[in-house]
Amino acid sequence: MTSDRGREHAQQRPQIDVAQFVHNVAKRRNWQLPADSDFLSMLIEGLEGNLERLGYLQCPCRLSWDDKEKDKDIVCPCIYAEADIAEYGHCYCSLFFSSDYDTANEEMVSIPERRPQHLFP
Amino acid sequence: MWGRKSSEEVQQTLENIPFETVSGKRLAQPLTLFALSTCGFCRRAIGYLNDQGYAYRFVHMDKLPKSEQDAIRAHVKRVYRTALSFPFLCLGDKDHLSGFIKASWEQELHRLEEKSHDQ
Repeated sequence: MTSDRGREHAQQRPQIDVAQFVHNVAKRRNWQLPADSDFLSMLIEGLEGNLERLGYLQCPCRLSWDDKEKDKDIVCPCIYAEADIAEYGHCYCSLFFSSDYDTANEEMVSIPERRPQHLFP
Repeated sequence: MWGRKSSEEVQQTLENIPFETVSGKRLAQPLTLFALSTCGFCRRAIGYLNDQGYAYRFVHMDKLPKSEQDAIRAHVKRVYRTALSFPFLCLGDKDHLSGFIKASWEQELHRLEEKSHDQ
């Protein structure tokens, strides 16, 4: 269900090529994308769906407040990505990896949630 | 936000959640998975439970109306004393697994299966 605020954003949603966007972010930040192309496509589709619904690139692995202000820390790339990539080699979703991560061979696992619990919906 | 609904209201809303039931030969405990349709680890968790033949039920929370999302969050907070992160697998009414780490899921589900055989 879309809130009024969500609808408002959706009406003025920006046109973004999400696949291109994540490639650009990875390139600029010196990160890698997952080697598993199905896994990558799924996350890109998730981001596209969130962009369509909310008007911003809300993280596909976290539940939204449907409010850009309250979700601002988890707009992709989220503010936790850099620390997670430094500590665990990839972000919470496993969309972005450190440049030295063996994305083809290392098994990806969920990492602890760095977002403070009081910011959760 | 969590305290707003009484537990009876939460229970009532929970009963109406359109869970999908997956049948399987292996039953560790009543297993309920809260997932997001957009999350890669949630998909892997579902794939794992299916491959291993566990019986469980699941729901994609991003497809639910806000009131039902709130009821699930309140339920998780009350029963498991934690905020909801995905994937979230309820193991009966006491334990849970959150985030998909195949080795820990394997270990924990095997332990529960053995326990249920002993009973």
